[in-house]
Formats: sequence, structure tokens, C-alpha cells
Amino acid sequence: MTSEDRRERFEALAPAVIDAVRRYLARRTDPATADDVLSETLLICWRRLDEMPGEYLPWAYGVARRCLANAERAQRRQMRLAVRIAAVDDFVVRPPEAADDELATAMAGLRGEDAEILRLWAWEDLAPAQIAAVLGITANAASIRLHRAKQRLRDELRKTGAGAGHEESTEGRRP
Amino acid sequence: MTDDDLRNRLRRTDPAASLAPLPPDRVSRLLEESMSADVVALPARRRLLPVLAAAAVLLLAGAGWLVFRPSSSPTPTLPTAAPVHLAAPAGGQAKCREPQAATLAENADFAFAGTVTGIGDLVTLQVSKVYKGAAASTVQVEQQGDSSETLMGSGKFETGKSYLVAASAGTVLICGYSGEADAPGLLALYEQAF
Repeated sequence: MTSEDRRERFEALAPAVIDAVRRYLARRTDPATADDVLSETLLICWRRLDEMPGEYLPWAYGVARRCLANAERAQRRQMRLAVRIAAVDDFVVRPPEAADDELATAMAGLRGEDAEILRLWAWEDLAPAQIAAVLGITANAASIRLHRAKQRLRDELRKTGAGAGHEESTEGRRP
Repeated sequence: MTDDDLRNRLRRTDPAASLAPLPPDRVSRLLEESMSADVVALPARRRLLPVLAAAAVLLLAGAGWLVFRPSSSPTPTLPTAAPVHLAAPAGGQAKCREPQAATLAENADFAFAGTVTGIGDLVTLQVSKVYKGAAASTVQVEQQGDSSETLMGSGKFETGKSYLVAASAGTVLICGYSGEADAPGLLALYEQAF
């Protein structure tokens, strides 16, 4: 691939990567870290463009995931947040209109990896094979883990629903 | 609760649902930053110099591209009566992309041609032409430091020589965007950009 071809390919697919990775990061970290990790993710996508598979979004999420993990390990987030939050407004999100405390409690009750696989499924809208690409596991393993995570979330919702004394609340939220 | 119900309920709590799309100019800037930040880290300066000699256009620069990253701080209003002061970029080792007129036009908020009339703590240049920014007759620039290879030509300001200098937010732009006026391609770059 000539350098001009590389540029063309990158320019063609990068806007979709930017959009998806921005969302991925806005869901998982503070605006300052999101800004840094987005730049880093893009840089890696550019450098490793030749390794990018046809279905590049899960691959890009995987890159962002590792960059984010590094960033959070390496940096004292709170300090950076205090210094930089004023300067970055690309990642500011409002809380969803209808807060679902019950769901939030149920998600918080799950193990981290279960909650993350559910986020990838619902928020990033990924199928098990794509989740597998993000997490670096087999499609089969992703499928099983997703199934179990859904079941655990249902269990947690039943618990919190029952604890709050309104078992029917989940029904009421159906569209 | 079916899978679909569960998924829909989760989706309603998506924190990124309200995230506004990035404006196209920010998208293209991110793209350009990624492609131009293709930094090749070189282990030691002695390895830098032969490469420099071989490729005059590709300036190996200190935080070259870092300096070129658009700054979020507001552009200072440059005084016209008093000499304009410009800072030297910070040092470091990196490789720059070949300079582009469009990038120069987009990033520089001040660009001029001038001749060095004196060198003291600061280098004083008599301005012969302002390409962009407020009119000025005299500009004072920090002498380029250890990352002297950032400036096209000899790398340092020298008395009597003419230079083309571009700056962003008060700092000289390097990476092939500033240097001796007769450095190969530099004048053409300025004429194309401004």
C-alpha cells in the first residue's frame, strides 16, 4: 500500500472510528482522559492500519480499551481532572433523562467483567463475536459470558426490585 | 424480562446518548494530528545529525508536532507598537511530517518575513512583510535553543540574515514552518499558505 493509499483508507474509516470511540470513552471515563485516549487510539489505528480487519470497529474498541486501561493505571486521574476539565468540552455528557436507579444498583452489584460485557452488548451494540474481538477472547466464550451476565443482571434486578418493595417496577418500564 | 427488554432498559441509561457529534473541523484536525504525529523516536542526538543532513526538508524537531498541536488557549492579541515577542519551542526529539501550506495557514496566527538586526537576550528582527496577523515593524524572538535543528537553514538566528517565521499563540512554529528565507521551499510554502 502506498502512503497515499494509507492516508485515503485512514481518512475514509477514521470518522466512524472517532464517533464510536468517543462514545465508548464518554461512557467509561472523565472528559480529560477521554480526550487523551481518543488521540492515542487514533494514532495507534494510523500506525497499525495494515493490521486493521475489515470489521474495524470492534478492533478499534479493543485498542481504546487497552489505552484506557493504561491511562487509568498510569495517571492520577483526580489531579488531571481538576487541572484539565475546564479545557475539554468534547466529552461532556448529560445524565440520561430518566435515571434508572434500580438498574444502576443492579449493574453495580455485578462483577466488573459481567457489567462490561453487558455495556458492550447494549451500549456499543455488539454481537458476541464482536465482543470477543474487543476483549480478545473466543466468540464461544463471549457468547457464554454474555448469556450468564444477562442472567445475573436479571437476578440482581429481581433482588433490588424486591428489596425496594415494588416487584412490578420492571414491567412498568417496558415500552 | 426478554433480552430485548433488558437491552432497551440498559440503552436508556446510556451516558453517551446525549453526546453531540464532533464538529467536522475537529474531526479533520484529529485526523491530521494522528497522521502527522507519526513520531519516530530516535535514541540519541548523534543519530539525529546525519539524518538531518540527508533530509533538509524533514526537520527533526523537539516537540515539533507538539508545538504544532492546536492550543486551546486563546490567541494573545499581538501589540503593534511594542516589539512582538515570540517564544522558542520546547526541545525534544521527534520527526515531523513534510510541511503543508494548508496546515500552516490553519495553525499560524502570525507570520512574517524579517531580517535579524541584533542578537542579545532576544533576537530582534526588522519586519519586511507580515503574511498574517497584526502589523508589526519589529519582532523579538527567543534564540532557538538546543533543539536548534527546528529552524530551517543553519538552525540559529544570525545577524543580517533574512527569515520567514510563523507563530501560533506566541510560540514559533518549527517542523519546517520557520527558517531562513532562502531555505528550499519555504518561501513557496508561505506564498501558497497566505
